[in-house]
Amino acid sequence: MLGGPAGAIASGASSRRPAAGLLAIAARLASRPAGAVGLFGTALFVLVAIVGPLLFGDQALTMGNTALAGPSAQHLMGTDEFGRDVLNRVVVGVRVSLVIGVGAVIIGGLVGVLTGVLAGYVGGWVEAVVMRVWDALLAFPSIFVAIGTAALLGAGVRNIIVAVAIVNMPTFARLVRASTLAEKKKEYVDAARTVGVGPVEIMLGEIWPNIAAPIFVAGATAAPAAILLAAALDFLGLGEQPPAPSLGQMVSASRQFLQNDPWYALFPGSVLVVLVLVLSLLGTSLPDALNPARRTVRRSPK
Amino acid sequence: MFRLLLRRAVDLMVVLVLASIFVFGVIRLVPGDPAAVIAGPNAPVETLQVIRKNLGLDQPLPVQYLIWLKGVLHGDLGTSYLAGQSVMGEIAQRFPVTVELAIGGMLVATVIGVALGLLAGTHQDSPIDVVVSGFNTFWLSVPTFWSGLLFLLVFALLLRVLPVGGSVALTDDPVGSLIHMILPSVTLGLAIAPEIAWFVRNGVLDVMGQDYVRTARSKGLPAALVIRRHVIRNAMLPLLTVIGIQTGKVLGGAVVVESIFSLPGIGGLVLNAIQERDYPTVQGVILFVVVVFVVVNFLTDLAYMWADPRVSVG
Repeated sequence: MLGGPAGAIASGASSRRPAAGLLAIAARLASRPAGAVGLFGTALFVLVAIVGPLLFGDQALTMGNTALAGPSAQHLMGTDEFGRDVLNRVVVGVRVSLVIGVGAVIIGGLVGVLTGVLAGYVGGWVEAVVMRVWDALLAFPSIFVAIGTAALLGAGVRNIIVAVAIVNMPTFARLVRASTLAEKKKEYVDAARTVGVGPVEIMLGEIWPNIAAPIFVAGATAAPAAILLAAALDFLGLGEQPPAPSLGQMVSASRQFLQNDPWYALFPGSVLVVLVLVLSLLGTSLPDALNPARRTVRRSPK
Repeated sequence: MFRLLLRRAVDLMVVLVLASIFVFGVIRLVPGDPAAVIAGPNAPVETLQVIRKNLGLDQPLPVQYLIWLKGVLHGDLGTSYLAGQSVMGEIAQRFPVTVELAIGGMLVATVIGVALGLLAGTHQDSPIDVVVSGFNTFWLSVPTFWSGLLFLLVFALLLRVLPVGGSVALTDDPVGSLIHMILPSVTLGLAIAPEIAWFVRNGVLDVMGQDYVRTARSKGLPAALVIRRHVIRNAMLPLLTVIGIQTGKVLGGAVVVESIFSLPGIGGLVLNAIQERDYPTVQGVILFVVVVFVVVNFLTDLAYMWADPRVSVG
């Protein structure tokens, strides 16, 4: 769930920024330790996810003669119970995690934004119905939403993306509805309506650009949580099916060998932790980087 | 107070009805004929028709929903395809383990979360605050299935001070039962603690900015006493609500933690049911969990109203 940071973000940046500002944002991110670790760490993981499989080819599925070998120069993270190179599998697993995290947040965000803007702008019974449905969905602990989805669709990466996307929809919808409610009272919306702009154009062409920035930040903070949830589903056997690797599934497979070969559990798990950590650092540093004025504001108890 | 209570109760009913429609709908959307699953392959058409009639599957969907809902309201969640046992019976058998784990996890989370939150809030922007915030960010990034495994490795396999897994009924051997719950509770609790710590810290900062705290200070009360008597008491109130909200995370996290430590709770029940396509059980467990979550939230709301009269006045 989006917790507190999203709330703080909602009241934060709301100005439109040209694409050229991206570099400036990156520079501001890099100027602080947490932001720098988040930015460069994420860039590194994305690079590995894209380039890694190209370098290693299909090695992630290639079985070798030495099962459960410890780390060595040949196999930096050792081999698994079928003699497959753990590093290769971890690299592919990182890619799977990133695809799921980004995919689920984009799909969940899209549905959440559309229904949220609609509910906030139209109001009345449309709002009541839409928001009640999302409220009801929030009554399901996220793992159980995913379990229900997996029961319906079966296991697999695509279905995990759908499941995690559904989990993310209500939070986006609530956030967007709240900002739409605040925005639709403003003069520019009245002006647009007066000159005859239709409701769909007002919602997507006028209101959305003005509330978008904090929603993108919310998306960035939702991604690491999405990856963690997906990894838990992989661990439970509801995600990527063997022999294709995923980080959660590798940790699950390593359980049997915990006693004698603990490193097998250590590598995929610690890579997952670092991946989620750098993504969260990036997400929590974004609001300050997007809106430099926020930095100087400090809450003082005195 | 009464009107607010009534409004909350109506909200709760609406959410529960919608949630029950979701749960009902999801299972009915599953491809395949439940009658065929029960009768097994190669069953004659007549048998299938009899089963369909018995299950009410020949009725229109809204009627099927109402029949199902009537059963649910009488505590009948249907019959497991596999065990042939009532789903409610299976849940009743396994839920105590999950409850024990959930309470243990919540206790660990609350103790750690409150302690860290108070520390960070009363030492804003000091190194303590930074360390606590680092702790929070780190533990929010660690999946329970991995931290649990590491705890297992260190405390059960290397140090051999705690059991590897499994559970003992609280009624058979209270001490043994609690010892079996230490690692699972800590694993679950550490995943929840950061959010509680974050919440308590912000609550403390909010209260410290209030007029009555300034008054207490300016009349010369020592800082420690101000914090103990005014800040902590007021910052703790919203904690009830947070604990209510975290119940969902605890119940969801329990599924994963039960899997790591081989605890026979409802997590194993529902995962096994998915594997075996035992839809009544999947449906029953999910609905049961949602009801528990919603009711716990309602109760914490009530407790909050009782503890803080301002809520019901405003």
